Amino acid sequence: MNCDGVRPLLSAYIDQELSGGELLRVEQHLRRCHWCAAEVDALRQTVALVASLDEVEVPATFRAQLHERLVAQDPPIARARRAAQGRSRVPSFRRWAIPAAAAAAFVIGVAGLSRFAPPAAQVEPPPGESVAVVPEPHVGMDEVPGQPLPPDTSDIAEPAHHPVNGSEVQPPSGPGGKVDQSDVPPTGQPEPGAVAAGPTDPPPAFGDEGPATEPPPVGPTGSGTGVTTASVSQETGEQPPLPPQPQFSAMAEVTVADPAAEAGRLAERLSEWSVQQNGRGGTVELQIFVPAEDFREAVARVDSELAAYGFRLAVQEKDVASQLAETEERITELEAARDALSARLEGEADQDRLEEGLQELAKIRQQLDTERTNYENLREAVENSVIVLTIKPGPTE
Amino acid sequence: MSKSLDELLVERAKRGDVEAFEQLISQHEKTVYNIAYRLTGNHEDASDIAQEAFIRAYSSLADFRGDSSFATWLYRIVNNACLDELRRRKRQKVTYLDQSVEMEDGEVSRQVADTADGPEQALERVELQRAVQESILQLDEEYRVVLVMRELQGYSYNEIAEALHLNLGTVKSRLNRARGALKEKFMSLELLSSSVVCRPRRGKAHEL
Repeated sequence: MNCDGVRPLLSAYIDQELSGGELLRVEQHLRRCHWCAAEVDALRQTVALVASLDEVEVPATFRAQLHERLVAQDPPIARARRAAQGRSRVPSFRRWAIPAAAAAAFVIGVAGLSRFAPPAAQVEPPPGESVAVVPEPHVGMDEVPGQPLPPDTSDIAEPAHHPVNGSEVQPPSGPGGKVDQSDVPPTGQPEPGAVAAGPTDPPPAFGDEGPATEPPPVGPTGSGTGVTTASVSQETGEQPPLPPQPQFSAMAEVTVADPAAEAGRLAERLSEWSVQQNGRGGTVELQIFVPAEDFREAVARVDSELAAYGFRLAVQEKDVASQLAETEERITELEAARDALSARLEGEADQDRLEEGLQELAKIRQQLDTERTNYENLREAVENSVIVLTIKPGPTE
Repeated sequence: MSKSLDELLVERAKRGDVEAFEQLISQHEKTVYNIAYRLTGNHEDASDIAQEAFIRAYSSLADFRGDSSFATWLYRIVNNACLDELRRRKRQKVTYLDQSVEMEDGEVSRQVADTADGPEQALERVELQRAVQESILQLDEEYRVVLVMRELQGYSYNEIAEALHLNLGTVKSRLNRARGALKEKFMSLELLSSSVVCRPRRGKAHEL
């Protein structure tokens, strides 16, 4: 066999997929032809290079998006079944809408925003009463800085909108800055599709505890204490020091005569960042989302704006490195548990035990999803800082 | 008598048990996603295609007769979804990679999982991976699919033939040509060790 005859076989040769006769002839040829032997070497290196590509991780948003798309599908199996058996109530992917919505809501909670939201009663008064809460617009209006922008802020070229936690942040309202209260969602907007399927559907049968509906308290809890760091560390002493993962936030409460108008004005001046306005009735909350590296600058800017009202931001810095590490650890543990159980179930002959194992597996997967979402959210919180201004109606000094 | 995990889940999913289908997704999403990612070269398309594949699988689950394993059946759907998309794309002449290396603040995106490397090695690694991925994307779809299934998913020739409805000879020759073309590409990028000397090829170049 000559080189031309051998070359087309070399790929199969390195995969040991040649038939006996072919293999013999190729081997014979390779012993005396160093060109083809080199070709085999090059092919092996090529294969190794391709195989060295890392496995990529499935994005955390993948499952939720898939759920949404599946929910949008009319379930064909169920449909066929309904036709065949005349059953009225069939399981469908619509029931998945709840975990997806819960996950989306959770995203917001973990990012450290929910703590700043005024209590629901304050945010959303019954429609009929809202007028009574709105303060008189004429009080102290002359103390409010006028419209012309300070010189150092007027040359803003590119308003940047940073999506936070996967959901698009409400852009600042237009010139004039009146808060369109009917359109402003309370405290963050979960992915629209996730909630679209309706919260009235029954909860999914994911198991009794349903982790999706009860997210672990990774997000900040309580008032003013910031992120609650779980104090679980089994093997202290052995762990190398973690690189700091600061999560920055800053907040201030401002009392002005007309919160809506002031919020609009502020939002416009800070529009190079992503600003979201929440609130109804009297109090308006401004959330300003800033990339972590711009945080200091943003604080200085906001402080200079607030100086006119006589307020300052209180800056908080929380290190979430240990939380990240713990979440990562839990993910690893859960993955190991899942793989072990999966492997065991592959060989499980007993149907009862298989059933039982499947239930267990579903629980582990659910926990894993939750932890992964946690992790993403923590990363997100590290990368994006938030400045929260609570603008309350009241007499100005 | 006993059934495999997938078989049991498929059976239940066919009866309308969405949780069972969810578990099937869990079982296979990583492979499905990785196939899609390597065939398209970016996360956005990979997500789209992988989701599309699961949706197609869900809507045609009733047609799955169990002649092959569920995995083989599913991966065939993935490949078809990819091919559809790639052909559509080819008509529109859009192909792009994730701009992972250019991201700010040293974040090198999801392509780098190996944090044990120092930053320089990590970057080198990213660049190498990028070069390899880009080379793969330059192959024609038919060759790319075979290559990805073999090299990245470790399929046997028979399994590839089954999944893609090709005969064994076609699988062999496509793989051979795909590797040949990649080898040339890698050599031109100086990614192969220099000790390798290859006789210049006669006849027409390895263009796919």
